[in-house]
Amino acid sequence: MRWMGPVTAAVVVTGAVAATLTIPTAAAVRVGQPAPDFTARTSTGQTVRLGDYRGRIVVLEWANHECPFVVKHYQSGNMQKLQQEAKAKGVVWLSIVSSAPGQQGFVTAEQANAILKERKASPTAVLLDPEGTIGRLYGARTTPHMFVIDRAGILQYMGAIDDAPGLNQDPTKANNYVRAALQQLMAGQKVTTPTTQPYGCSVKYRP
Amino acid sequence: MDRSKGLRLGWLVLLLVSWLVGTLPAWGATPRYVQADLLSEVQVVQPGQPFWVGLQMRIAPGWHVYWQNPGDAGDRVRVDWQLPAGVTIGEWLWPYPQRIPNGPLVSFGYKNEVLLLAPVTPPATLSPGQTLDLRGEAIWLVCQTDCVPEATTLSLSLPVGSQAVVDPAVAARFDQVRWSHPQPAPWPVSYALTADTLTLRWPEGDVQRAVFFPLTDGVITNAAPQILRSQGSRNELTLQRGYLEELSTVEGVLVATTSLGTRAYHIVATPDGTGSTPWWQWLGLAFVGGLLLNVMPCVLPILSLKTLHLVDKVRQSPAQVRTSGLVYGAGVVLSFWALAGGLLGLRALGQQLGWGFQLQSPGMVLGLMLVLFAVALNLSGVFTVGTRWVGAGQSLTEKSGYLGEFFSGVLATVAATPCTAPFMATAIGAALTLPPLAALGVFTGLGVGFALPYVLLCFVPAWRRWLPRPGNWMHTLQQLLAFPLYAAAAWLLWVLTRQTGTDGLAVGLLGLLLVGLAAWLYGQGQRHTWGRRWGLVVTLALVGFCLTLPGWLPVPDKTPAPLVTETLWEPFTPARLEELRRQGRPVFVNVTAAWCLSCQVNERLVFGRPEVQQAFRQRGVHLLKADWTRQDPDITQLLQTFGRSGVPLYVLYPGQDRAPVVWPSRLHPDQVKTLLSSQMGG
Repeated sequence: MRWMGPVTAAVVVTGAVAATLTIPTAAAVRVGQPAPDFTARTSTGQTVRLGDYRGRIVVLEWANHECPFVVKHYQSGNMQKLQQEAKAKGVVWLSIVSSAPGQQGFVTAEQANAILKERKASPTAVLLDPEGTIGRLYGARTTPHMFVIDRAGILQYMGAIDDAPGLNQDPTKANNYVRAALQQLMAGQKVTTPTTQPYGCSVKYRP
Repeated sequence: MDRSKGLRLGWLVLLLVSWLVGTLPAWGATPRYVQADLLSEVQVVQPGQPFWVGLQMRIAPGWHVYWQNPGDAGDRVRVDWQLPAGVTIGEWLWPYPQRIPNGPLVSFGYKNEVLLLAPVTPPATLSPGQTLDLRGEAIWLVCQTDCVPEATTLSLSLPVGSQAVVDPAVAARFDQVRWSHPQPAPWPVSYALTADTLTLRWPEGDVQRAVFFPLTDGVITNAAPQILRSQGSRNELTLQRGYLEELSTVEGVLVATTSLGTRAYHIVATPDGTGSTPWWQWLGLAFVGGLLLNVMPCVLPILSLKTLHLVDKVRQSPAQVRTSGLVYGAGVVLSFWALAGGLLGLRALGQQLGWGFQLQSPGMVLGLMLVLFAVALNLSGVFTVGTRWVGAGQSLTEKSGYLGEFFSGVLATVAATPCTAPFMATAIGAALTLPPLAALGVFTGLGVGFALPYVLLCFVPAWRRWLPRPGNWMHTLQQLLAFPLYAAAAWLLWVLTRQTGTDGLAVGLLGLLLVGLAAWLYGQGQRHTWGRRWGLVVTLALVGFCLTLPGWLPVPDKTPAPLVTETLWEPFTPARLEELRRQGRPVFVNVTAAWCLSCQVNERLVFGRPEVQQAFRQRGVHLLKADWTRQDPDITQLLQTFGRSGVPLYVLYPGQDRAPVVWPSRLHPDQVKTLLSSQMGG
C-alpha cells in the first residue's frame, strides 16, 4: 500500500490549496513566533512602538474598566500588585483599551488617567486602541487577555491571567500564569504553560 | 461647567456604577436577566436510586449565557453544590450551543432558554419519611454586548419514599431536552491539518449544515467561517486553526443537519484521512468478509461445483491445476474490481448507492435469474458446456478450460452479491467513504479472500487428498446441486414480482421458458447431427431475444406499494422516526429487502415469532420497517448513518433520547429479549 502515501498527500495538498483559497487567513499570533509590531498613542499623549522595547520583557494587558472580570482583578489589588512586581524587575507593562467609542470600556485619555489614579494602577503606559487595530492584530478576545513577549520580541505567553476564571474565585489565591511566565523568563527558563484559554468579557470592538 | 468637567463628572458616576456592578455577585441578589430554577425529575426520592435534576435558565431577550467552552469570551454556568453526606451529583450535560457573534468575536452559548441536566445519586441509607435537601450556589455570566455576573441560590427539598415517584411534566421536559444532548458519533471522524486549517471528515449521508464546537480553546479560530463540503456520504468541514501549535486531540461537538433533522454528536477525531480504522484493518475485514462469502448460500453451490471439477482434474498436471486456480482467482478479483469501478463511478455521479444495489434494478434481477436458471439446466444435464471443443485439440481445451475458469470466477462473484456477510458490509461501507484507490484496495481484499480457498486447493495437492475420489456419485451430486440454483432462480422471480408486479412475473416466466427452450435446443445440437447446424443459430436467436426482455419490464412503481404486509410494522420514513424519537418513544428500525436472504430468514424466524412481537409490545417499542427492495434514498442515507451500505440493519432507538444501538445481523428469538432488556434498562 505504498501508493497510499502519495495519494493521501495529493488529497491533503488539494484540500489545503482549496481551503487557502476560500478562507481569509487572519493573522493569528502564536507562541514562539515574533510578536507583531505596532505603534500606539498612550493616555499621556505619547506615541510608542512595541519594537522600541526590544531587549526588555513586555506584558500586554487588555483592559475594560467596566468589565466585571477586570474589576475583580483591580478591586482585589491583584493586578496592581503584579504590575508593581513586574515593573520593579524592569518589565514593560502596557494596558491596552480596544473598546470602540460608545461601547463598554471606551475611555478618553483623560478618563484613562483618572482610572489609573483611582485604582492606584501603575502600568508603563495605557494604549488607546479605539479602532481595535492592535486588538485584532493580536486576536485579543477578552478582558483581561494577557500576552508576554520576551527580550528578543518573541511571544512567550498568551491567555488568561490565572486559573481562577470564576467571578467568585479569589484572584489573590489563584495560580497566576503571567507571574509564572515572567519568573521563568527572568530565570532564562522555558515558559511551562505557554497558552491558556483567556476568560472574561468580550473585547468591545467596533463592529 | 466646561466640557471636560462634565465628562469627568460623568466618568465618576460611571466609575461608581462599575464598582457597583463589580460587587454585584453578592450572593442572594436577585438576578435581573436570568431566571434560574432547579427542577427534579422525581417528586419522591427512592434511597440509592439515581434520578435527574435540571437547572432551567430563562434568559432575557437579546441576552445569552455560555456553553461549557464559552468560545472567544464569557464564562460557563457554574454551580457550587452544598450536598448532604453521601449524595453525589454528576457533571452537567450541556445541550449543544449556538454561535453568538459579537463584532470580530464568536461565543458559544444559549439564548432564550436552556436546561442543563445532571444525575443525582442519593445514598441508600436514606429511609422513607426523611427529606433530601439539595442546595447549590449557581453563578453565571449573562451578556448582551455588556456582561453582568449573576448568582442565585438553588434549593430543592424532596421527600424520601420507598418508591420513586416521577414528575411526569418535568420528565417530559427532560426528555425533550435530551434530544439536544450530543450523542457519541456513530461514524469515525478524522482530521487533517495544514498550517492554517483543520479539516474534519466523516461519513454521513446528505449533510446540509454542520457546525463544530471544540471542547478546548485554541483548536480552532472560533470566529472564522466553517466551510462544509458534502458529497454523498463524504463530508469535510474546513475550520481555521487556533493558536495551539500542536493538537493532541480534536474533541468537541459536531452539530450536523441532514434531512433527518439536526443532531449533535460528541466526537473525538483521529488524525489522518482514513478514519479511526487504519486502512490495513479495513483490508483485513474485507479479506475475512471475502472468505466468509464462500460459505454463504448464494455461493456455496457454485463453489461445490468448482471443487467437483477440481476432483476431476486429478489427471491434469499440477501446473495446469495451479494455473486454472489462478485464472479463477483472477476472474474473481477482476469482477470485484469491475464492481468497485461501477460503484465508484456511480458514487462519483453523486448517486447514493450501496452494495446490493444491482438487485434493486429489476432488469438485473431478471438477468441474474435467467443466468442461474441456465446454469441449473446445465447441471441437470440438459446441455453441457465445453464438450464440443474437447475433441478439437489439447491447446484449445486448455484455452477454453481457462476461459471457463475465468468466467466461473465472474459468476461466483455475481452470485455472491445478494449475500452481504457482516464483515463485508462494514468493509464496503468503508469503501464507499474512502478515497477511490483505498476503496479499490478494499474490494481487492474481498476478492482475494473470496478466491483464496479454491486457489489454495489448486496449489496444495496435499489438501486435495481430503477431497473425495471422482466417480458416478459426482453426476448425481451435480444434478442435485442444480436444485439450490433452481431455488435461487425461483427466489429471484419472487423478488422480481415484488418489484414489478404480475406484469414482471409474466416477463420473467417468458424468459425462463425461452432459456429452457434455448438450453434444450443447444443440448440437442450437441447430441444430434440435425441440431448441430440449426441448434446453435436458434439458441443464439433465443438468447438474443432474452436480452431484450428487461426492456419489457414494467417501469417500477415509485409510490410505495404495500410491500409491508404485516400490520405490526409501520413503514419507515425519516419524518416518522424523528417524530417518534421526539416523543421519546422507543423505536426499532428494521432495514430489509426482499432480495436479502438473511433479512427474510430473520423476518420469518425471529420477527415473525409471537414471543418476539410480545417482547416488543411489552416495552412499547414502535416497529418501523425500511424496505430497501427498491431504491430509496432515505433508507440509503439511514444505512450510511450507521456506516453500512447493505441490509440487513437493525437499529434500536431506546427512547428518552438515548443513542441508537445497532443489533447484530444474525438474530435468535431469545436474543431479542436480552437485547431489549440490556439496552432499554429494567
